[in-house]
Amino acid sequence: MSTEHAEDHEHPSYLAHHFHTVQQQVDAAKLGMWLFLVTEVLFFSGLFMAYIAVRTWYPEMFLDTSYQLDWKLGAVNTIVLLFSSLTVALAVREAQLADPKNPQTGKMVGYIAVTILCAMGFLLVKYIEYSAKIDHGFVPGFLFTGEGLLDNAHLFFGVYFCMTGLHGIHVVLGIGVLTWIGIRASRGDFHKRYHVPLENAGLYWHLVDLIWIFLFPLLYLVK
Amino acid sequence: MSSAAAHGHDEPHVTSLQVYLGIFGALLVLTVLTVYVSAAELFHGWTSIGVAMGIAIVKASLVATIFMHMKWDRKFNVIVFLSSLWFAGLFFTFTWFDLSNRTRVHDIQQHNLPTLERQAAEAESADAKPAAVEEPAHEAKTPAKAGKGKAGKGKAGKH
Repeated sequence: MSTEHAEDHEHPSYLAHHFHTVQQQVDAAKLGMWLFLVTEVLFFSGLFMAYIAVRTWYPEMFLDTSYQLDWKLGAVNTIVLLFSSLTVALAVREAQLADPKNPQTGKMVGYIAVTILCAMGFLLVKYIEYSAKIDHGFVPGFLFTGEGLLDNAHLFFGVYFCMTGLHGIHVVLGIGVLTWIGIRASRGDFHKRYHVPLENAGLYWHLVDLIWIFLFPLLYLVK
Repeated sequence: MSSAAAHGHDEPHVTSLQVYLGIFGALLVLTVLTVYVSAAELFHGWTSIGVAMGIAIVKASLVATIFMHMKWDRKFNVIVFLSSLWFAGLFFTFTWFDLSNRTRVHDIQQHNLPTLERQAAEAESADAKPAAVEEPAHEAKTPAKAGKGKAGKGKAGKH
């Protein structure tokens, strides 16, 4: 396609036309990813602020209502996400070790597949939790029909569903991103010289884990 | 070590399998710890939030430095990411000022209610004679008084 490029200088297939070197391309991609993660942190910070407000205004209600959440399911999901964070880090490690001429994709794709399975497991547990809450009418705002809780308990569920819901949407999107990355990995796109898409997908997945690390004690372990 | 790696060109830093597994083990231990602290009800209220957040920050730091390779990443990327925490902190702090002082503002308003009522009454009496303000041809009022009437009207209009 780009015949004007001299034959003597390195121009691998994965180097985009508008970059001089692979290193420059990788640096730009990673800076962009970190900037995106900044916007994600700020995106979630609004919900954390809502949490602080509701918990400050209604401490007794917050404590009482938090017992409606099953900390065991929350703990299971925490471990599932931590494990998926490990496997995606190991997938990146496989890419870092892969030979560019003949990349071994088996383990790399395997680790990505395990990460996707963990994400689905997380959503399954979340589904079980959500349906139990909805059955009891423990839903946000004017839809709240639950009984036996203190006044303003609907505010707790507003915070709970918004925070875990936005996080859950990120898990769903993560499954999509990791599937795409897994397909590319199986094609042999990623190896020692170039694996920044896999690395960036990993960074996104780690951020999903980071958010959950804070959500779990804040929602399930209130004392 | 890390600065040399950050300037490396082609060879990425490869973390050993043992380090990854060790970090994962530490994360599991910290998860058990945070559940234990809560289940045993060792702390309550703000102290319990503080302890839980302390453990969560340690966990998050382990994930960020090792799993996310921040330790071997370019320093600029690290600064970019940490800036988000700075801005989130600013957001929390200033909103917190508002949250925790709302009732005080309300109290001050209650305390000053007689003053506010008197000001409202003055503004109303000024409004009772709008011609004095609207028509400059009417020389019955001194300029100072006319100005006062205008200011009072402006205040009343705000409510």
